[in-house]
Amino acid sequence: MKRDAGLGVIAPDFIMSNMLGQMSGMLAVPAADARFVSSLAGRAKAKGIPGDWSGQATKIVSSEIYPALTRQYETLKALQPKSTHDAGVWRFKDGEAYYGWLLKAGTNTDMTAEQIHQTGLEQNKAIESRMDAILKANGLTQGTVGERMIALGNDPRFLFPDDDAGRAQVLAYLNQLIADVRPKLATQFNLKLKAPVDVKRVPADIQDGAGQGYMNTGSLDGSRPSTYYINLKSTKNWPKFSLPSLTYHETIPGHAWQGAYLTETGQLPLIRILLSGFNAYVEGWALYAEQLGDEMGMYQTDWAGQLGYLQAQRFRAIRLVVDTGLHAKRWSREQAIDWAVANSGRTRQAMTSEIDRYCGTPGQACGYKVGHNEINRLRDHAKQALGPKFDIRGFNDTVVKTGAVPISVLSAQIDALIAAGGKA
Amino acid sequence: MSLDRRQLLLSGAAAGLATAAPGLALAASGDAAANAFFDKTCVRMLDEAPEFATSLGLDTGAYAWRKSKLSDSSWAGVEAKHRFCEEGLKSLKALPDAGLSPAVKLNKDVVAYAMELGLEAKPFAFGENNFQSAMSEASTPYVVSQQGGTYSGAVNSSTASTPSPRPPTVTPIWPVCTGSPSPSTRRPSA
Repeated sequence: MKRDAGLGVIAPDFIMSNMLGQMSGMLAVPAADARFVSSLAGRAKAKGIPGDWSGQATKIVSSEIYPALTRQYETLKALQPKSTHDAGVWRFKDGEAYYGWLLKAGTNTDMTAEQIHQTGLEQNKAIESRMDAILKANGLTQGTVGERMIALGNDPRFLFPDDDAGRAQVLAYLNQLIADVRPKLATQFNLKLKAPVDVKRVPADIQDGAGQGYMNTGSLDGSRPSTYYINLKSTKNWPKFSLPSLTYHETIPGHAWQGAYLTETGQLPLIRILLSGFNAYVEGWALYAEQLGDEMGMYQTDWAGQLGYLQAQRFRAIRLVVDTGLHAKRWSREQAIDWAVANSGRTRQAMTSEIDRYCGTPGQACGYKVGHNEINRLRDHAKQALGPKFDIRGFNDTVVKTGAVPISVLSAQIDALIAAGGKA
Repeated sequence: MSLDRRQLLLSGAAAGLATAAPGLALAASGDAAANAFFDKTCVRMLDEAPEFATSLGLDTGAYAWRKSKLSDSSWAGVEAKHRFCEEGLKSLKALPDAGLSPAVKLNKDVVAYAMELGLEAKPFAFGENNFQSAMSEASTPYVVSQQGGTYSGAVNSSTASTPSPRPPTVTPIWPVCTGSPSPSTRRPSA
């Protein structure tokens, strides 16, 4: 940290105060109550392993970990006066080249910040006008698209009761969505994957710190299916129209389908599994899976669900604009927050934590939409090149079977598909 | 990410998946050398990131030492990652494409891309900018931030109720990447 500070790399003031606050919070907990201690002691007790785990761990926390954390706190505190409010990496030496590298790491393409920014602006607008048309067609004409979406999210007709009965209804609805989409996958893939999915709520004792929704991929031997966890601390976080697109993203034909190809076929060697951090491919596929939900007609009788899908897509386009805004166009943190709030229709609090995240890991958030766009670009290319021989199943199978790769490698696989006349 | 990559790794590793995948019957003359290099690369990656290996269950038998070791998070550790890429790229150059089956050529292209990307971070000699951070969505100018640091990562993984193998470098304290428009999460997700 001191070394980096010597190079002028110090976190912006808002990240600095956030960190210092977190660290003093951690240090205020007596060593015996630290999560390190309680977690170890609790697990030892649950498994009936004898020994004074709590005492031993407390000693390590108080004599080694807390002193180290205190030194880190003091180092940061000493740097704090040098910290400025500038949010972007443009301010560092060779900042432009550095952000270029971060974008490459995030999107696995050679797209420039300007190209990504413009793409984000265009897609944000295009999706907004599609949403506006659907809202109008359903009698919702007053206010911005964002305002109308907020109103929709608070509308009782889209909310589940915020109690155990309501939670059970959410889980039943998710199972229904998966059951409804499963038979349609034959129109999109020749691959015959079982891809079983268990739907569970995030256990109540960890839901405060857990994600909103996520997948645990099944075991390779097929003995444990993929599990789709949803955080049901409050059902108000999940208006009904937000659930279809989340489900297609996380389960089928999204992440659970990708995972099933790996676990059911065992076709990828360990090196490819260790090197699977190609976010644009992995998340681009999941966004494309959301789109397949729309293309398979899952929203034919669910206009609100279609809006939920478009709202989710729009949010990923917004990320392209604000990430590049902050790091290439010298936007301030506040400018980025304002822009994101105005366009997403989400709360200032939610957008502040998003923007702070983009300051901490620049470029990373661009991978989702860029990956999605690239998959669509390759699909258009294959359609054009193959004409009537284009088969959506051949294309989709090829993308899944390629596994996590940089976009350039995926592009070569699509060229091979075209050369083979569209047969995957 | 939600295709929990770490989970995938876990399941893959638990089954003892070796370098050459089954089903790739059409081997070419250069495949064996390439696969041997991939194997060696896997071992080295896991040796240098023992916590990661532990999270995958790859810390038994001859690799039991990985259980009680931490990866090198010093600046020397970053330089070692750059060297790893330089050496790896040199070895890859010695494997002409012409001798490889399409599947192995694809694997070679992926490994080469990852190593080149890692090496391209060399001029940015601060924060976490290297092969490993690039492959775990954790590149950052700040070694400590509100969303990453050793302590927060350790606390999270020590309290996770389900196995949640994490990448070895920066581990997010909260939400790194929820893509769905719902409030954030504690780890890379949608």
